[in-house]
Order: sequence, then structure tokens, then C-alpha cells
Amino acid sequence: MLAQALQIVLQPDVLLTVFLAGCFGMFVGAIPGLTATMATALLVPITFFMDPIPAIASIVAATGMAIFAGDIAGTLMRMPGTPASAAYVEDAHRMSQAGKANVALGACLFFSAIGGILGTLVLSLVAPQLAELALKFSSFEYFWLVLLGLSCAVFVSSGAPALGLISLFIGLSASLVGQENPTGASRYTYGSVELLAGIQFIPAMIGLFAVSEILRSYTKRSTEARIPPVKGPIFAPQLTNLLRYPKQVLRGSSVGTLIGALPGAGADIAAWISFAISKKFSREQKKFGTGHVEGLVEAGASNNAAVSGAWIPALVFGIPGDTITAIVIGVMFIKGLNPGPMVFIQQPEMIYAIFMIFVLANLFMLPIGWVAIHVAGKLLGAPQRILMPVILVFCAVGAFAINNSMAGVIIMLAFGVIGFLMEENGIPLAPAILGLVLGPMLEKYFITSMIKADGDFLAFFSRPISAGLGIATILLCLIPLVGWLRRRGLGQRKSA
Amino acid sequence: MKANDTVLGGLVLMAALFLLVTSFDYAPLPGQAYGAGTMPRLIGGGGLLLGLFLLIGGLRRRTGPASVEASPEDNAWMRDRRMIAVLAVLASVIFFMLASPLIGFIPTVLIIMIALMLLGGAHPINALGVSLITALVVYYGFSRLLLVPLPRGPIESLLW
Repeated sequence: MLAQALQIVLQPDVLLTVFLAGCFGMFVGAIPGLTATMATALLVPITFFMDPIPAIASIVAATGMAIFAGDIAGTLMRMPGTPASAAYVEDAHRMSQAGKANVALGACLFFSAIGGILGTLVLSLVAPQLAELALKFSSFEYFWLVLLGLSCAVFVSSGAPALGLISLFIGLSASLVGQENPTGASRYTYGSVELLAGIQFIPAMIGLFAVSEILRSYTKRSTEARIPPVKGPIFAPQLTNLLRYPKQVLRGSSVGTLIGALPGAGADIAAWISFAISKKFSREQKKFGTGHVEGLVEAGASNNAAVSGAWIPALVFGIPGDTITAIVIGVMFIKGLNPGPMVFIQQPEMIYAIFMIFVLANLFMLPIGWVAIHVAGKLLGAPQRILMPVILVFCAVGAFAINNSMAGVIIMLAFGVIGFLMEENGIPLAPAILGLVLGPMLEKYFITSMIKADGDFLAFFSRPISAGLGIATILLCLIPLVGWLRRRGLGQRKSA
Repeated sequence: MKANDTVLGGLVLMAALFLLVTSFDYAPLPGQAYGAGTMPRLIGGGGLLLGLFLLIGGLRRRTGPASVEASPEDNAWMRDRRMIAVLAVLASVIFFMLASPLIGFIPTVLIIMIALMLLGGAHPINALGVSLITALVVYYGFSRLLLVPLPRGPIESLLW
């Protein structure tokens, strides 16, 4: 089976795709404001025309590289290229000011690759085991799993839970549109044929993540940046770092994989948490924030490990771990690779091929990243006023190409405006996307279970795993409530 | 365009009421209490609670001492050139939908890109060059190689 998988991966077209998509991801990630999710959303219309494995390979390669490339702008300009680089931007930038940009960027690059590979290792060990367990799942377990994913997206994401709930409300409401419901009624379509299949997911994604970002870029005053070239060895200092911080690398990779595997929490949250852990357990706590490499090593490994970890729930249960895998699931369905435990039994060679592509993409990252660091000046100097209109045209073509109709462009525009207004108000985007993807699943599992149980809600707790998942979901939702009540209690005592 | 909790709460509340009311248009499954209306009702119910929570919280803060309203700086971009640029981006997508079936893909996106680049302050020659290359490459790539039926006009028929 491994030989079969190797045969799938070692095709010239797959290797070329990984390389080209990697360069594309590196470029998109390096430019401040353009995120890894946006790189994926822009890639999807092109993946439509590829075979399944190159299509998935292109997304794997682009996202991994984009997460690393976010560090380049963060280090050199103190402007994180992607949100996942924000956690350690202070240390990285101060190192660059002290003339150690090569050490900082080298650490980000080298430990990103290690984190990505370790995350993949966990993915390839854990996913098949979990898939075996998932075979025993019924609609009750899946219902809780989906609900757990949505709760994680709201309560683990950055910002106030109320804002996350607004986002989830928007996503779930949008998911109601169309005929995909228990009775097959044309819900909220108002006579539109285009809406019968529901709100198309890819144009909505392009709107939320790309068009909204274009709009945002026009609300900022343009800045011209001058970036000094990076001098000195990139990889040599990393050997010292590896020998000095082996525990941090392992810890960052494990925490990153774990957080990535939680639905709704992705690379950015993994980086923040790993940076905090690194500081807490460090012997040199005072050096954090002054240009210390330790946090970079741990959080840099963590955010790339999270990219791999997010694929665990996506492949095993068909439930996305972050916004990127939410898109991936859409692509997999279109390609006939329906994610879920059955794919591990029916097409295991495909799954192992995906794992191998992860390793391959992380290895490719080293040379592509090395080049990116050296041409960083030119890469970051690409003026946004030229770039943004070009990206807008790509967005419009991509949204059009999904169904070859302008309906996609209308959806893209509508969600672009919604996404822009959400970001302006600090409302996170991830819960909305997960709501849109998981809404129909939540409905299907809920109605099926209710019919099976003949309307008895207690049936949701009648099976052991289902009860466990249910209790976990309820506890997760209660934590913020308890915190809120405690704060209120304290406030009243103070005012008394 | 930063709004305060009262406005957000009001919007959520209105959407939730809409879902609740319309959920009764959809009949349940035969012989069951559940159907196409169940989910809209549940989501609408949740939205109702959320909207009320935000609305009450927002109104309370407004009368209380710790008022957290949108600061003037958050919305500064709405009072200068940048507002025009944002509206121009939106207008250009609408222009794309209306104009490209009439005059074809290439001239439409050329107009959009050049206009937006000039509005952003790019040099006219750079704007023209980049737009022309992008339009031709995108049209050739998607229309000829990937066989996406992008809108055709006189120019496209002349070229390919």
C-alpha cells in the first residue's frame, strides 16, 4: 500500500504541482494581509481542473508555505504576513533589528518544516486509529461531534464569545438556503434556480477571505517599505538552536497538532498558545519580547504542526479543523474522495499519498523558503495598489468558474461585504465558515437521530461515546458562562 | 464601519425573528414533529437570545459610565478618499457582472483594473502594462486551457 501511495506521489505532475503551489503560497503568505486561507480560496478554482491528488497536493503545499512566509514580513517589517505569525512578531523583528534576521528567519523556516513533519507523523499515526473508532459512530455521535466543532470554533477562537456566536449565527443561517434538508423543500430560495443547491461554498469563501481583505486594504493608508537584504547563513545557526531547544520543538509540535485537530482552532491560535507556554516554562523568561529565539522555535513549529493537525478531524470525520480544511473538504467531495472513515478502508493508498505529500511539501519548503528569504525585499515591495485589482479579477473569475455563472460572483460580492463588515467589528470569520459547512450536517444528523429516537432527546445520551461527547460539548459551552457569572459576582461585591 | 453592540444586537434580533416567522412556512415530515422548519426555528431561537443579550448589554453600557462606542478613529476612512476606493471596488464587481456579457471579458477587466490602480495612485504606464498582461493571461488560461466559458465580446473573437 505504501508503495502504491509512493507511486501516486512520485509523478512529475504531482511534484511540479507541489513546487508551483508552494511558490504561490510563499508569495501570498509573504504579502501582509493575504492569508493562507486566501491562498487556498484562490487555488480552488484551478484545482477543479486537476486530478484528486495533485488538487489536494497543491492546497497542502500552498498552505504550509504561506504559514511560514507570514514570518518573513513579520520579521523584516513587524507586519505579520498571516495571523499565525503575529504571536512572535515582536521577538522576530527585534532580532532583525539587531542584525540577526538570518537567524530569526532561519529558525522560522527550519522549525516550521520540522513542526510540519512531526504534525504529519502524528496525523498518519492517529488518523487510521481514529477512523477505526469512527466506523462505530452513528448519527448521535456525529451530531455531538459537529456541535462540539461549532462550539470550539466559537469559544476557542480569539475575541469575545458573543462575537463568535454572531459569526456562527450568520454561517448557520446561510446554510439553511436550498433543498438540502429533510423534506427537500426549497428553503429560502425565493424562486431562484441558482439557490436550490444552497449557497455555493467556494464563492462564499472567496468573498469572506479574499474580497473582504481587498476592501480592507483600501481602508488603510498606503505605506512604502524599504527592506534591507538578509545577510548571513540561514540554516547553520539552526543546528545550535535544535540542540539547545529540543524539548521546545517537540512541545510546540505536539501542542500545535493538538490545537489544529480541535475543530475551529487553527494555526494562529496554536502559535499564540505555544508562545505563551514557551515563555512560561522558559529559563530565560525575561528575554522574551526582546529578540529571543526560543519562542520562535516553539511557536514556529507549532503553527505548522497545526496545519497538519487540522487534517485529522477533516479526513476521519469529514469535520474541518480550521478554515483551510473546510475548503479542502469541499474540494475532496467534488473529487469523489468523500472524507470520513470509509475512505481509509476503500482508498487507503490515497490517504497515505496525502500524508506523503505533507512530508514532501515540508521538505520543499526549505529551498523555496531559502529563496524567498533572499528575495524578500522585492517580494514585500510589490505595491498593493497594483496587486489588489489583479487579485480582485482572479476572485471574480474563480467565483464565476465554479458553475460558469454570474450567480457565483453575486455570492462572492455579498459575502465579501459581509466579511468586511464582520472584520471591521472584530467578529471572527472562522465560525461563520464552519457554520456554513457544518450546518447541513448538523441538521441531517439531528433530524435522523430524532426520528430514530422517536423524539426522545435523552437518546442523545444513551450510547457511551455519544454521552461523553455530549457532556464535553455542554461543558465547553458552560465554561465562558461560568467565567461571566464570576466576573459579575466580583463586580457586584466590589460595588457593594 | 464599526457598529456598537446595540446595532449588532438589533440586526441579529431582526434576522432571528425573520427565521422564526418563516420557519412555519415549511411543513414537517409526514407523521413527525420535525422537518424543514426545525432548523430555522432552532437557529432563530438561538439568534433571538443572542440578539437580546447584545441589545440589552449595549443599551446598558450606553447609559452607564463605561460607554464603549465606536471611536471616531475606527471610521476615519469613511470620510476621505479611502471611502471612494472601497465603493469603487464594490462597483467594479457589479460592473463586471453587467458589462462583461455585453462587451466581453478582456475589455471589462481592463477597465476595472486600470481604474482601481489609478485610484490607488499607481503610475499610468505600470497600471496599463500590468492590467493588459493580467487580462490576456487570465483569459487565455481560464478560457482556452481550462475551458471556462468566460464572456466573449468582439475583442475575444478577434484574438482567439
